[in-house]
Amino acid sequence: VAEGRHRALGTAIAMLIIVTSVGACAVPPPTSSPITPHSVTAIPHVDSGTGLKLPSEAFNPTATERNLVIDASQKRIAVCMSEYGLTWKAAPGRMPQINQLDRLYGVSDLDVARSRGYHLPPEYRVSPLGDHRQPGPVLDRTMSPAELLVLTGSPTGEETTASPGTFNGKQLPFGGCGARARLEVTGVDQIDPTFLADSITVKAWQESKTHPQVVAVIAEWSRCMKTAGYDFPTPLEVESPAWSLHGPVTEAEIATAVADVRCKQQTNLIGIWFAVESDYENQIIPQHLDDLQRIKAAWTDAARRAAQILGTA
Amino acid sequence: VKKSRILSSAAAILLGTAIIVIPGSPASAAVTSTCTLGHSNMQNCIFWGQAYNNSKSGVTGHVSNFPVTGTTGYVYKSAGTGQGEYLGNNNGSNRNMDQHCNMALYYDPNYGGPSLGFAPNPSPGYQKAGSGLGQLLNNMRSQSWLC
Repeated sequence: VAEGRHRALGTAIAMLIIVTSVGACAVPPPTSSPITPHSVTAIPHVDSGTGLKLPSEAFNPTATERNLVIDASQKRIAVCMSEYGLTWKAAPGRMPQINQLDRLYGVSDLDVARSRGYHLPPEYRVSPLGDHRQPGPVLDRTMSPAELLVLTGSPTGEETTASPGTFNGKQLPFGGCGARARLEVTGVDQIDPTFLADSITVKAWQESKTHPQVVAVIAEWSRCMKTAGYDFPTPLEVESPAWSLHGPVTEAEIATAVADVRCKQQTNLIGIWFAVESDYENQIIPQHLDDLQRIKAAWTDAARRAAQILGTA
Repeated sequence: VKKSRILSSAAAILLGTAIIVIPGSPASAAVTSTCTLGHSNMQNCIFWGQAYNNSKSGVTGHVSNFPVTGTTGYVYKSAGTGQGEYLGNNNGSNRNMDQHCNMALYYDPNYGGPSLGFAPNPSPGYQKAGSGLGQLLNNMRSQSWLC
């Protein structure tokens, strides 16, 4: 019965792969998408990156979707491992809904600068040694070769094209239980192997750094910082021997970060850079709209399937 | 295309050591020549090659700056093409070895610039290679974790 179910599942997975794979696209990748540096006039005046969303972010899965998929895949891994007589400690999905704008132009929020300096705020950075939902996880737990084999299809955990063979007399799935679970939940090994929306974000951000309006506002920010007693060429090159992100937050770091954000506010660096970058993204997105929409729909489908697996649909 | 192929002489001296604790960093921050699956081990397996191949290093914990100049322990450790080269701006592929924590890579030091999120191993999105890293391919300067 189980084998028959797996064969049926395999057929369904094969069909899903056809349906949801993005595959090769005729348009050039975002890295080579042509962009025209318009003079941008619709510029918001903003004091913080918080709450701003770049156009490309609409095509990424939500944190809820990601976490549903993670939770469902963890559940399916546990089921698969148990079929081979092994246990799996499922970890709940906790992908945060990180706002790209929060750090895209360096520290961008006055409250964060006042409390954390340049250190990441707690919602980005939770140490396993503290502030855990369930304290006391096993640190650096090393998996046994048997566990690695069943989980990954390889006794070393390295990816291999070789057949994983059998364990306890039972054929292992290619790529192990991890790959099987991913297929069961998302229908493909990776929904978006080229990470299209992320690529658009980075391409537009990278190009925007040389846009005349961005260059000008960065220079203005640098002058503002110099007036405040700091000498940095750009907000992304702020480092000082007076403080270290490997150590605790210091007064010197906070003072620098506060001046940094105040200069961003004074020059409207965030508003100008965001407007230019959004304009660039809006030029790239139409070239990839079909793929972006297909990827977004695939994530939505995967989340729906995940909710069914979890029994929460 | 690799942006950094400079073999650090200091790094070359360190190659014989399997585990390098980075000076001035938390005790948990370490660079190893092997990558190990773990639960809350916060390890990023960084490969020189774009298909999870060639030299690699396992880097644990938060890293606010993968240097691209000067003396550093943040270099490729295992035998193979790329051994001894900087990890910073030289990542061909990345795999989250942590089965519990989410990993984020940043384009710039100090967790700045665009970031890419990685799901816990082996959930969907736990690894990215070559063009899958988008323009964070060979452009990784910091990493953080959320557990």
